[in-house]
Amino acid sequence: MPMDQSTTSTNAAGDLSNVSSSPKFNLAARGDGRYNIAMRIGQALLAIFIIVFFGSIIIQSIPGWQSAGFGFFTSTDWSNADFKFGALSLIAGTLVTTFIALLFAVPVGISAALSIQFLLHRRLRVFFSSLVEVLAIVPSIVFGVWGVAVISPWTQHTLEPFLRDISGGAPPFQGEIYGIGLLLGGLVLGVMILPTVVAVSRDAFAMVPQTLIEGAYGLGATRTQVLFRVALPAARRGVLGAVTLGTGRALGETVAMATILGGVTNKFPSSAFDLGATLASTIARDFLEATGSQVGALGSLALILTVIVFAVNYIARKIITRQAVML
Amino acid sequence: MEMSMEMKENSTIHLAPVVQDDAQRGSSEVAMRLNDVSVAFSGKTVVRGATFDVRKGAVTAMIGPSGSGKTTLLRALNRLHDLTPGAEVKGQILLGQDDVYGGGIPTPILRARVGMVFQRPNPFPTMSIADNVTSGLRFNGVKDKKKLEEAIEASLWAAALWDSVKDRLKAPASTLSGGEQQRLCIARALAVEPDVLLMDEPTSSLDPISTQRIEDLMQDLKKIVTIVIVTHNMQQAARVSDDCAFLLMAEDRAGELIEFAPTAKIFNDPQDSRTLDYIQGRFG
Amino acid sequence: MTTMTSNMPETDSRLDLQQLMRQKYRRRVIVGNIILAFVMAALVVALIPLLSIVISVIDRGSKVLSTAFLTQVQQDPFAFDPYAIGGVWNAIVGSLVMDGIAIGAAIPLGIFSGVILSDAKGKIGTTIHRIFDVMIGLPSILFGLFVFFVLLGPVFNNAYSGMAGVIALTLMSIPLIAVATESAISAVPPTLNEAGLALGALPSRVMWNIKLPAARPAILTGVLLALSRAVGETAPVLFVIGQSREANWNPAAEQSSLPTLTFQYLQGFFPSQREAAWGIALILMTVVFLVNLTSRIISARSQRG
Repeated sequence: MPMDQSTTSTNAAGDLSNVSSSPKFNLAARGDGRYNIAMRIGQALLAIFIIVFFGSIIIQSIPGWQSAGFGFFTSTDWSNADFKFGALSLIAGTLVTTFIALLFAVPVGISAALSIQFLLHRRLRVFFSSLVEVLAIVPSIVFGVWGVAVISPWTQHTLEPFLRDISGGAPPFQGEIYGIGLLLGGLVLGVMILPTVVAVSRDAFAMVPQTLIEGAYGLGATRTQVLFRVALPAARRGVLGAVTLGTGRALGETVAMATILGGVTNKFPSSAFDLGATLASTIARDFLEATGSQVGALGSLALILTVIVFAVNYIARKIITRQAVML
Repeated sequence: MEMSMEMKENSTIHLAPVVQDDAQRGSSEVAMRLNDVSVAFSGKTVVRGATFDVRKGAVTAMIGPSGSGKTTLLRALNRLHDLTPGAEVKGQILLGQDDVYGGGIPTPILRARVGMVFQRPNPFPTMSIADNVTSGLRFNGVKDKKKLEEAIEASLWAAALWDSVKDRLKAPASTLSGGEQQRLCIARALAVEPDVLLMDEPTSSLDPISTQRIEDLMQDLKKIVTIVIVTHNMQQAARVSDDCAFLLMAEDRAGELIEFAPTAKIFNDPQDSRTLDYIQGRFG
Repeated sequence: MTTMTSNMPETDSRLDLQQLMRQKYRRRVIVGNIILAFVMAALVVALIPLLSIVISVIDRGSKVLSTAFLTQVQQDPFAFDPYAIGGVWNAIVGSLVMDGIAIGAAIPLGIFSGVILSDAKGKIGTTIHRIFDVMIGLPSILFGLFVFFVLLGPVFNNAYSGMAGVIALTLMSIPLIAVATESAISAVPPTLNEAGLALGALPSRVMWNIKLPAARPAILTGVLLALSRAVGETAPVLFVIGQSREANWNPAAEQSSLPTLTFQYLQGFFPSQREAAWGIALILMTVVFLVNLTSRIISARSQRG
């Protein structure tokens, strides 16, 4: 490995001080100049791609900031048709749906991962973990189809009336029931990120050293204690990474949210039953009809979305391995 | 590290260690009794028909070449094979008067009474030193603060670790060295005050100095707990044990108990020629 | 050592402790079993919606699926015949053409990017590396916006074009394939690499003849993952390909794709359009499952080999 480094970097950097140190390898390296030049050019191209990509998102957002001004972050009134650009409701919609999704997906997902890894027979474990990995790549538009046709009648006639009755109509379960809206969006998002949360945290549980588990059993721990006091803490990084990864996905989900939130962009959410919109869903719904400063305003939404999701994914990448990021 | 241990073993193995004949170490009371114990995995027998008594307050060593089933037999004593699907233990194991596999003692309670130290130190990485020591008690429902604090000090004392960690009890267990971690695991096992302590090659991952300290420690520990140790290292068995069980792989690859006797007798006057071959280093 | 013995509790205390632990045993087993029941219940709770998706897509999708649905092009339903919506052939063609070209382009570009990443050193190198990792998780709509903003005007003359969609899908796939390639290359044992170099092979030869072949199964898995994503993605192509009702084998023409048609139908007025959405969902899910199955077979084989 160090050999490889010295050959490639020496040549690439044009640093002559190492040439005498290892003549054989440098002979090789000198003959491989073209490869190194290709690598340098390639690296530059990737850098340019990244700069152009993020640069264009930033530049395209500038007209939006200019036309909306400071109200962008203080006004809850977004109406593309009337040139009203207050993004607060959209930001809130994004956070609320993601929060509901996590409320469902985190406890259910982690527990499901625990039971798949530790409570099921080996064959069932293999079956369920493959199933979950397959479900993680179901296209999100399919979740949209399912959410509209299967879950929204259920939320409308069963879940939301139940929540309203049991809470006596207290916030956040008050107001009119539409079936679609923030609660439905959050639940569908939760189901959507569930396979990711289960698959990545099950991976983390599978990495808990067997000797730790045996050590706990050897002290007289019951199975529950081994799961919650030893396996879960030992895998906490991976589990946290799974949650962060799911969060990133929920924040950026676009087409499913555009179909089931109701597309109400000018109301700050006050009830879980409210119709709403997210940053991404608003871009998806409004973009084709947008002209002039409307395009710029949507560009500003895109920038906010990019910053939030980039940050969340960056944290996820910091705490878990790359393999899991791709799930 | 393991390489150097191996070499050390090889260089001296041709001389059978001379063991002083003080077979009266330990009492004649029986802590555990193994009666025709066999262990099978998915129908394949790994250990067959082991019968011997573990004397109270003594150190009993199980020796034998790799594959002779020492560790498998040891893990039958605290029902650790229950965790392996398809594992089956036959025969009878008594802990005092209680039948280990008879259903009279719940398995977690049994495991608190028969503690275990593993090949590699396995302190719980997310717990502090103190929490590691009290983990067994807390697993077993002991929550009384005073009791837990007493146990921390007493167990760390018993594991000869108190002086070096008393000022950093709240530090993560991972900050300790390998040898210290293994002694922490011993303290953790002692905290629930077991009748018997099982040690599965407890020094195989340690350097010679840490190994020495653990061996010394065992001589003190046997005043308070009966010890059963599996070791790959004959010198170690000769140094630390009072009784010795020699196991060997039979033709069908199942381990069998060849000879069980006081350590001095095994090393100075073995009854079976295969035992003699082994301790003289002719195989293994 | 006398201190030690005096610190260790006497035998009586041992019996007391064992007694105490036995008393506590029943309670903790009951509490533990209740918790375990909840944990198992969570698995059921997780499976219900997921299986509900699979079952309802199969059930309702198969009712829509027919030869006509697969071979006719899309029609606008008329008020007097709300069921005259035709089929999805135009979207199938669009998806085939665009996903095919996009993945075809993303494979060499992605692998080359992966090789560059594996070679990337220094501050700039690691920064590029990290950003690529993060780009995998970016909302796919951003790639569509990027193509719209940067390319649609200058390159496509502000006209909708399947090629613009192809570029968006390619850009989205490159980081996935690149990161898969890079991690596969870095997983190749360094001894292989050193052996090659010690024989006097050029680094480019070592990369081409040793590292990349060794990394091939993992790269293939990454490619198939990118493919199954590209097939199902709506957002990247939504703004740039238009809504063609014709089956166009020409990628540069205005195009249609299965996911975008689903999106369009979900917002449609006629119930028949929403039913058709189930049919497309079944097609999409079948394709994605088959791709996943292929990748499983490949990785199982490579592990055996």
